[in-house]
Amino acid sequence: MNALIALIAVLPLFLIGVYGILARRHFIRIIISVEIAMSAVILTIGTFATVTSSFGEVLGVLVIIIIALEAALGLAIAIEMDRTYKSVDILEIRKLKEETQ
Amino acid sequence: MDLAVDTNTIIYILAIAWATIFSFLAIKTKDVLYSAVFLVGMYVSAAWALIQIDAWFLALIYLFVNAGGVLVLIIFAAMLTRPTIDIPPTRRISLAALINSSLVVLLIAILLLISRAQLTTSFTSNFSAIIQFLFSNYGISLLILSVAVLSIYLGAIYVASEEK
Repeated sequence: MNALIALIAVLPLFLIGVYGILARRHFIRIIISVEIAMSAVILTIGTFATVTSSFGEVLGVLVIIIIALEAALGLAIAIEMDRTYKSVDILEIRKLKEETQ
Repeated sequence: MDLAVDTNTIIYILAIAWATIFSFLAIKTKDVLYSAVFLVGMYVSAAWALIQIDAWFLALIYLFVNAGGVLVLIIFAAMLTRPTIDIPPTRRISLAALINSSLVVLLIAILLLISRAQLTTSFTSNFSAIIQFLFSNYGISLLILSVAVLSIYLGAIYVASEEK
């Protein structure tokens, strides 16, 4: 398989993730979008693992762990946000913060 | 540049296409719980693509951690927060964000144009080689990462706990 084909195939997945991060307001949905974008990154690393052998896979495993951490911390922040501001809409929270300042 | 497409490549592209469709549905659907359901489809399709290129170890870890761990966290977070279907689905994307995205796409396109790597077909995941790599060459890194993992999980528990 050619690396070019593999990378072009993964690109739409990454762009959908980026679109989700930019366009969504719901905090959990933004975390889901980050997950999607990072899945594209893992697929790219997996693709290049076929060239670099074990190093690529080790890198992929480490990235998977870091993504899981990011999701855990992000979702904990979402719960705390809901408790404090009674919302997980990031624009609404920004407005509330501006009003209180 | 040889762009010949064989059966493996077609199945790989098919798996990625499924992953893309599921991720699009996960972004577009209004209910977060439905998003989580579509996310399962995305994880399975992506793992299928990884298995297709014989990176089965990475595929297994990916499926266990994401479909087993992260997804449960997302479902719990969606259940513990307020129902949010009433939140408008989109916000205005600023010009700067669009320009930045275009630059990223341009950079990737340039990288793709200059890349001529031919992926090897004899590759398959080697469990013992990965373990040897992790515990010898990257032993210290793994140790530091383990401490970071533990502290971040404890931090997440602290942030989410009601009484601080």
